[in-house]
Amino acid sequence: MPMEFISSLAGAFFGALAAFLLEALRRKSEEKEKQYEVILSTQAALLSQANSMLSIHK
Amino acid sequence: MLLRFSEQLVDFRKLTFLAASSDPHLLLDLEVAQESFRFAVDLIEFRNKLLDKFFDDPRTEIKEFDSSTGQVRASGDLRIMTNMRQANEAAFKALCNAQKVNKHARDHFYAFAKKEFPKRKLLFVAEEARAAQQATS
Repeated sequence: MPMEFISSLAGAFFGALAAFLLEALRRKSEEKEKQYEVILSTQAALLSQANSMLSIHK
Repeated sequence: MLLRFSEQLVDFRKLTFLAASSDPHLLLDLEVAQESFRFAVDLIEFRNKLLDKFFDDPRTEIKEFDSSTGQVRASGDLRIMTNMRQANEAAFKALCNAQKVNKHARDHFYAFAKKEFPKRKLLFVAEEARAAQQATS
């Protein structure tokens, strides 16, 4: 009886731990994806400003 | 001179993650690049307003006008002409500086992005491509 209790407790613990780690991993990857989008939009803004200045400077 | 400048701006609210990154100094470079661009644009707009004021002034006399290049030789109010000359010089210097600062920020930002996202595609104008573009235009 105590053995069954311990194994089910361990099962529940590792299940919860796996769910937590997976969720953390998903959030981290989501955050990284958002950062990538911001990096692209920042690059686009800088290039667009450079292009504006280049057209005046000719 | 009819001009339309880029309205695309760097959104610093979304770039707060840079402060906690390996290169927080990048935020400062981006800020300087954006402000230099704004300053140059403001000066060019001011210079254009002065030019309009000069040509609207009744004392302005156009002596020569080349329609193919748009070059004008004119005389008029000395005060407006002096202001225009100063605005021209300041706008040119601000434009040169903004271009230099923009290039530095782009290179710095690209190096950071390449380090953070080595396998992802990034926007980059290679020097060769830029030189080729200038040569063809």
